[in-house]
Amino acid sequence: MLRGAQAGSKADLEELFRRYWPPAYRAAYFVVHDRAAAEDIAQEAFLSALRALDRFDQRRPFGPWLHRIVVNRAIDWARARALRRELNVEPPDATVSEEFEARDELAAALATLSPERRAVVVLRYVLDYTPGEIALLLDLPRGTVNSRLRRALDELAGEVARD
Amino acid sequence: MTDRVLERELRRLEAPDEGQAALRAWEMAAAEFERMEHAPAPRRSRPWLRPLVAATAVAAVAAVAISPTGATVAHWVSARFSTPGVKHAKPALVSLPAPGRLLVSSRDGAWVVSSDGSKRLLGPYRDATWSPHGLFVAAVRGRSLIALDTRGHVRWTLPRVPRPELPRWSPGDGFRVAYISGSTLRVVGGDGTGDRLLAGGAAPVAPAWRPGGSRHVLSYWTADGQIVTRDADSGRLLWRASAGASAPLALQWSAGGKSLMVLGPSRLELLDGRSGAVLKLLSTGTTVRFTAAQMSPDGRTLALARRDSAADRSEVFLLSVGSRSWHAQQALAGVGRFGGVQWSPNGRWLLLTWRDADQWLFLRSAPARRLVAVSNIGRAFEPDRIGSARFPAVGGWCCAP
Repeated sequence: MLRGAQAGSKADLEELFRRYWPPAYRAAYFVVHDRAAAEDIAQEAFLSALRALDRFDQRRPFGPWLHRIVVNRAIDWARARALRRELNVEPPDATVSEEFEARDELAAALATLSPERRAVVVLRYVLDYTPGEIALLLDLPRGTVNSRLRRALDELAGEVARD
Repeated sequence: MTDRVLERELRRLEAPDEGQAALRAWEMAAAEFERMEHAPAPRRSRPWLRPLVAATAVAAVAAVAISPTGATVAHWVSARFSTPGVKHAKPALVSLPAPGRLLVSSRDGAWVVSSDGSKRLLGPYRDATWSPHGLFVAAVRGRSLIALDTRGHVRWTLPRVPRPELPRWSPGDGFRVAYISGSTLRVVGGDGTGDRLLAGGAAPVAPAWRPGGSRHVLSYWTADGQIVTRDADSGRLLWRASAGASAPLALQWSAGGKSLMVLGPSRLELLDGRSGAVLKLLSTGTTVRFTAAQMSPDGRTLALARRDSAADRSEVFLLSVGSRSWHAQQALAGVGRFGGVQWSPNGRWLLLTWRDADQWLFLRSAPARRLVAVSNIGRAFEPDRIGSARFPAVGGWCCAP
């Protein structure tokens, strides 16, 4: 599939897209909790991957490569927005405050976690990577991944119970 | 919540608008791919394969010719997110999945649909509504408010100028029928006697009776944008609350009368039944509009339909009424416009009318999720009209046995 896409096969590109873009979008959305931003991040990441396709090592799996780009960009975006909010230089994000989905209990609880903890939760439970794979994707010690997961689950359980 | 439950719920999370976002992203990716120069595929010399390769090439060219760029992705998105109607829907309504009868309004008039799927046209009535036990129907014909039985026999007629509209029968004893006449709210006895003015300044929104209790309590919307609740017998004002700028689409009391739902195009509010204070509020974005909502018979769940006009997509959510947050769960999503949502009398099934698909969808969420779809709804309620049929409205699903 990857080799075919590198050789110009649109059918193979479509297959790559169908297999890897939706989880990338979901991952981005649950890290940034903003529909438009998630779409931009997933789209840009896929285009970046596409442009680098001819240099891509075929022995490496495509999915983790794409998802790593997506999750790191989503973390950056979420951090930047958090910083802007602290400085109060922009009005509250109307899109987010009006987002119906954000009212969903668990999704809303997820949004209260730090971007770093959200990322490990999303990689673990939305994209089904193992803690070891997450450690490789995010360049983190495995122990850090495990501790972030543990704390994230505790925080989520607390948020849901509080609600 | 245990780790196990939490992990299971996390795995079920779904991001909104994935289908439309995927289509846009695919367009970008395909355009970018067209612009790129591609390295030729590694070639190995296998002369004995050449005839087969040639044959395959013809087949490939043919496949490309009938499969335009992106057709696969579009099909995939369509199949996953955008199918306009449920495939393999039943071609006709042969039965209702739950006990009770439906009241349906089409251009031909008001229909009663029995649980075995049989239909009876009551006559050329509009604004039809059930009496509390489903024995009678109140409806409007010309300038008269009319009560009739379910076989279509008229029990009483009340002429009124301006013409009456939006009647609602009081729950429980059924001793009162409220209706709008011009800018006034009026109440008549369930036997057609004692018609009188209850309040002026009423807007054309169906009034809502509070269930439970010994008094006849009625809420209605005023032309100056307020929700007013009165004792319908004494006329005493119980409370008054300001509401959104636009007139609500629907007012509905919860079972037991604890709260009043006020649905507007961009706001859904639950008001405290005793004071009118806002208990919960849900607002929506600029391109999204709420289109219908109804609380379940037990008052615990609220079904809410909304439409995203930019994406031409509609969704139905199930919301928790009693808890502090809404606990929204998406029940259904589809392309185009939905009509209304209607709970079955036993509260186990939800009827969603899907206007653009010309289908009714019956959805059961418990004990196991099940979906029953029925097609050709418009024609079923306008069987003799020439030309395209208009999609009918469901006026109610009555009554619990």
